[in-house]
Amino acid sequence: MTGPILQFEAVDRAFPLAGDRRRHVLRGVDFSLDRGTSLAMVGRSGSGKSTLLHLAAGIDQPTAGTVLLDGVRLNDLPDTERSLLRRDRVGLVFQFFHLLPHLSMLENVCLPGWVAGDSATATRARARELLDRVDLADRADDLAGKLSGGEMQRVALCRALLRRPPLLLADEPTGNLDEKAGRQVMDLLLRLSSDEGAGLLYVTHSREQAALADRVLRLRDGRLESAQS
Amino acid sequence: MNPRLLRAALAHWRQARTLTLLTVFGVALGVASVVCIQTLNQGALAAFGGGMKAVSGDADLTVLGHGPDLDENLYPTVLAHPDVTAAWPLVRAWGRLAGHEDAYIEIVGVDVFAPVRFPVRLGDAGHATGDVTRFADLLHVPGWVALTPAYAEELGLAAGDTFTVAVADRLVTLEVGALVDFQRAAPLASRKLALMDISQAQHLFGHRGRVQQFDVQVRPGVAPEAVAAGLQERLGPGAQVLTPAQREQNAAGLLAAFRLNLTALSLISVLVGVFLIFSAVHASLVRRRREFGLLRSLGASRRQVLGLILLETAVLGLAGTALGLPLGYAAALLNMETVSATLTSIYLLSEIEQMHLPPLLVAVAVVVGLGGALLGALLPALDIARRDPVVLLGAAGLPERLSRLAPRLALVGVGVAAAVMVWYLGGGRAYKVSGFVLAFFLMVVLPLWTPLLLRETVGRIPPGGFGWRLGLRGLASRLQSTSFAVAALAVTVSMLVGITLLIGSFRATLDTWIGQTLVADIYVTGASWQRDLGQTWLADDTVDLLVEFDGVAAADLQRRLETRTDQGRRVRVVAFERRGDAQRRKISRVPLLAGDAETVERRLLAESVALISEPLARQAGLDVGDTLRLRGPHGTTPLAVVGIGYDYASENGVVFVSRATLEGMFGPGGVAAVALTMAPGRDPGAVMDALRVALDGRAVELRSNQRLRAEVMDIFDQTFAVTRILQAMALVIAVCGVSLTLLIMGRERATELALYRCIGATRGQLFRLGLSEGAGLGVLGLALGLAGGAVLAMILILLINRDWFGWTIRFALPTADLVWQGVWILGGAVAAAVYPALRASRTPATELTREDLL
Amino acid sequence: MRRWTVALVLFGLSGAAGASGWAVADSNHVWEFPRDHHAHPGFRSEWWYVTGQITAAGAAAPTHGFQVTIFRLGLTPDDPAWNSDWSVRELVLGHAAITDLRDGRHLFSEVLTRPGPGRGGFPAPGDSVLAWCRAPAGTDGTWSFRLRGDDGFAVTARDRGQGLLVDLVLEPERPRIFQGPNGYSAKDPASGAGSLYYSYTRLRATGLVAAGADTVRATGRAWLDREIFTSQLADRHRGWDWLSLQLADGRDLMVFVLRDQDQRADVARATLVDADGAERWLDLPRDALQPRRWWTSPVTGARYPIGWNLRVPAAGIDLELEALVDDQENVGSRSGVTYWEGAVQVVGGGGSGYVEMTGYGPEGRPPLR
Repeated sequence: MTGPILQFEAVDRAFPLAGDRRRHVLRGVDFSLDRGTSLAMVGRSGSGKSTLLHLAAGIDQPTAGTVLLDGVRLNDLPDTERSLLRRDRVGLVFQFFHLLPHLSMLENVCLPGWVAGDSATATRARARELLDRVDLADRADDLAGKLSGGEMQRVALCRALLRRPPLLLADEPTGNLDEKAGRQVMDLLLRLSSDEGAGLLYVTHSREQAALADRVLRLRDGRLESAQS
Repeated sequence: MNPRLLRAALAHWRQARTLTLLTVFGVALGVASVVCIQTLNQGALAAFGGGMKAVSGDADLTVLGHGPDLDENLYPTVLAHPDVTAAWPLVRAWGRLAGHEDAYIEIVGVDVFAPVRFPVRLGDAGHATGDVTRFADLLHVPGWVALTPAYAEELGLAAGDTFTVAVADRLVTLEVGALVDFQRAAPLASRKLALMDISQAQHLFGHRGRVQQFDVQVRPGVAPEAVAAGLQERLGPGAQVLTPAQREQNAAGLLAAFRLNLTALSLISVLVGVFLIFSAVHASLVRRRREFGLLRSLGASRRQVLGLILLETAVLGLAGTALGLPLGYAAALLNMETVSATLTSIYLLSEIEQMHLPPLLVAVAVVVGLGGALLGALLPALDIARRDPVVLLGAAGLPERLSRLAPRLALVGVGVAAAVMVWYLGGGRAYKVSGFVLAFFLMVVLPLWTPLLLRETVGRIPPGGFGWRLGLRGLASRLQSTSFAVAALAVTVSMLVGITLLIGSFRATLDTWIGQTLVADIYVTGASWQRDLGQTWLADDTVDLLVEFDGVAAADLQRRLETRTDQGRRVRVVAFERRGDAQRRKISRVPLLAGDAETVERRLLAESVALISEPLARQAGLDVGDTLRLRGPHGTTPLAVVGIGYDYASENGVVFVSRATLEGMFGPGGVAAVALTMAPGRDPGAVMDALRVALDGRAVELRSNQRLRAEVMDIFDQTFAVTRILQAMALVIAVCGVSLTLLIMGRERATELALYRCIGATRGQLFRLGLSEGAGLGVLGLALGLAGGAVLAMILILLINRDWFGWTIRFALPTADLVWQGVWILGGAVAAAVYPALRASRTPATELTREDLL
Repeated sequence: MRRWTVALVLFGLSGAAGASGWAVADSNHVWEFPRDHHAHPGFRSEWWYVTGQITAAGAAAPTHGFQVTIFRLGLTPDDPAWNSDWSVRELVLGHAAITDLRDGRHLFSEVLTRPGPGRGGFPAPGDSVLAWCRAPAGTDGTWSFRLRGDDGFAVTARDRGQGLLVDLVLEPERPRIFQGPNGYSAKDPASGAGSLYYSYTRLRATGLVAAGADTVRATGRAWLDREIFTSQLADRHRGWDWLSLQLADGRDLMVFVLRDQDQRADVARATLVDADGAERWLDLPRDALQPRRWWTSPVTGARYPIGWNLRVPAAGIDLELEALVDDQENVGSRSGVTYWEGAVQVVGGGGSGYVEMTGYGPEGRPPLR
């Protein structure tokens, strides 16, 4: 319960190219995130934002440096352990929502609970509760394919929060939404994550949205700079 | 067509190796099925043709008798015809090699002084071995035969060695006088041909005054058919004059039903293969949609894209054909013995010893492979070609249309089914092929109903957890892929189940029937009984010994031969005579379909009437009271039909008459088989042992009741052995379809799977999900297939069988067989899912690209 | 399997020369007629041979030469005990030839068959048929030699496909003669080669003939030979020349010359029958028959003499003979037997007859000997 929920220490991530060349996507990234705080990451496309998120979620491994998730060193952890860790500690929100269209909203939200093998009733109750907080409870049994972008992202948010993860990661959460929906989703994201006491790390293009966070960091050519203004 | 585009295709194929391989494999298996079956079909006829050529050489006509032989005194009449330039007699018989299990030899007795065109050149050192000057020995050295070098080697015999052959109940010693390579001149001839002088052949294997045929050479420039007609007139109704083409046609006619059924089965395999191709091509095209979108936006027309896709498919189709041809041929070779055994034991034709791939069949295979591939690819190709470039390039996935179309398709299916039923009831059932038409449309309608069924069944399952229910629900999310896999599996399973039910019912019916008809305790036949066409029989003293043996209460003597009805239909005539204590005799009656048992029995013994078997009655349209006319040496004899009995032993029909009646038609002749009933309290086993001692030195076979029943069932099982191969093939295709579908789904759902990984699912969980999807496909295919199979079984048993054979088959459920097949199919589906599930489980979470799941 | 087989069979069998089991011709035969007109199964071979020249109705000179022969070729002395009518211990070989002396057309037909019902045979004494075989394929009926009346014969042979017909009644104008003491004609005393040989040297022939075209009534003169033997050609002999002449002065002459492997005459004998029917057997000098003119067969390549000088000093005979038609060669495609048998005449009108020559072909010795 103490300590930062996420820590990057001199993290490097390089991808091998043809021959002996490598592409360094991240170099010497150093930062930490505490529970209950929010951190926005800005940068141009190709600057390594998605990679950083992948590393944070344990989906990818750094080539150098250490990533600590809730004090646990992710580097040499086998895939299964990382999956379990991710299950309990991380919630993900994506730019493209990634809901299963053939399932209902409720079922989509329940997904992490199913993966983890939680009690079906408890899962469903929590899912309903979350949907209620985003004002979608009355359409919980509609198929997810029939929603608008904003509605879908709200459902995705519920899904991410289902198991009360201490770390919330969002990759361009409003990238596919219009202005109004985007503001609504950002608002919900910040509020709910704060309510749940989770640490929030999100990647964005928009300066206005970055400004809503407690801290802002800039990624340029794989290096982290703190950006003011 | 730009060669660079083709190179791009090659690159794609290398990338999507599994898809490409499976497409090729699908074509290969479809082609292999067709090639296998048609090679066997051809082989069967070619063996007959080759045998004909080997024995008759280039004879223009052959004179045969009605029944097992012909009066040799017709020879001068044949020679007297003005357009006949030569004619020669042949005596032919089958002998069973003593000491070799199930090895036969065909004896051909020739007149070496006739202008025989037999492809024998005994003076040519290249063909013959052995002292040529001793050739004259063939006239007076007892048992002199000429064997082929191949067979002699197989039997371990050299020139000068003796060996023993059983003919009916006699043991005959033969001496290898010379080795002559008949096969050089007629490559398809059996290596089991042996040449003898006609006098010895008649003495040892035949009957004085009777030969099997005269081969005739006609004056050049004169049409053989005209001469045949003239000869027929001179010879009268006791003989028939046939050209080689007519003889081959007769053999083909015999096998017509057998071959048709095999062909139908192979076509179903092709159908399943086409399904597979449809599915694979569709998936492949969807994957490459951006590539096509790019092409279109660069200016390629719809037609060009269509052409490119079809060309690619054509290449794959050719590759599949190239693979399928040798596969099919190899499969045919593997099955050659089985089919051969069927030909000899059931149809009494020559066995197949070698086969070759006729060029026409290669052409057919190419058409099937290429055509099937193109047919399968046509719809998906049109679909892709018709879409706008924007859609193709778009981020969103291609809209899943099948879900919406499902009800409409089902409706079409209902419509088709209704239309077919209307046609059938309205008059279609008069056609002999109507059963096949129904079966075909059943196979068409099943896939049309599949999408809706899938959508409404698994599509409504509440997932409830990350397990098999989620997996099943997932199947409904990609109907375009899963429907086809399920449909293909369902069609195959239908075929499997249908045929299993047919075979099972048939077998059960046969078993019951055997129980009713084979009631004697001991059955005695000559050693060469199985190949005999009625020309050899047990010696009189053998028969007397059997009838009067201690412990025997009654005996049924059976004489049989083959002839034709006046309509040209080939029938087996079985004549019986009862000896012994009528009271003690166990009543063995042919179970009757029509006619009163007592009356029938009484009339058969007293009058010149006949009891006919059900297939004959149905095929010839005969009922009790009608007249059956049979051809014999003295013309046609009318026989009143007094009863119709069930008989499953022959598809051509059997005519039962009394021995006296048969003698009236064909003259005197001996019995081929004797069935003995024991006196009460006597042990059949002990009597059999005593008989063996008493019959020592005679080549008889004694079979107990059980053994005979077992043999009959063995022959039955053998007949259907070939269908098992086809079923296995089709099943492999369908299971490949499952694998393919899951691979495609894995690829298409990469994002979805990555999502699960992001949520924290382990690889093991994804693997199990994939397996459950495979099992789900299996179960669905199985269920649908069971339903379809039941309907197909009914069509087979009630319609096709009735139209082509005429047996009454009682429906029976071979539960054990079906259960085992279900287990295999399910197991196969799960096994097919392993690799795709493994691949799916390895989907990295980073696969969440800039595509959406929608 | 054509001529080779037959030749092989015959070759193979006669290779066992001198034959085990066959009777050998000698001068101790007890003759009885008509019994001896029928077949003698104890001997290996025999034939019924008729040749002659006849004149069609309305013609002044002979229009046709004809030859009909039925051979009995024994294969094995014992009856194979097969229960079959095809069981064979001998073969029936029929040869029929007719030459149209006006246009030189020579037709030849051959039938080779096993004896048996409908096929051919040699009926036992008591039957009027002596030897018969079925007509060739494409023709109805049979070929036969038959007894007719007390002392006459009838011969029939027909081949519809070629238009060949010989259907004649033969009435002896002279009594039967033996061609050697007690009918034994020795060919080579050293090897025992010889035959039982009798002839009817002059018969009146009447009946029907056809040589391709129409059938005509004809009459003329014929010579009938009967020979019975097991082996009559010694190993050193390659073939023979045989002739029969009916001379204008009423005498009949039979001459045979055996040639060695170099085609040189080795043995020459003759039988002379004078006008009242008495026969004399003569040994001739080797050069009694001198070939003068030759003809090569385009079919077989054999070179036959077709003109001769014949000298029989003991009978005061010195004449020239000429074949009336060059090509009178018989080529047996089924049997492999090839020989020249043709009508000849004495130059200057002193008589006419028939000449037979064997062993001139490239195969060497005839299979039948």
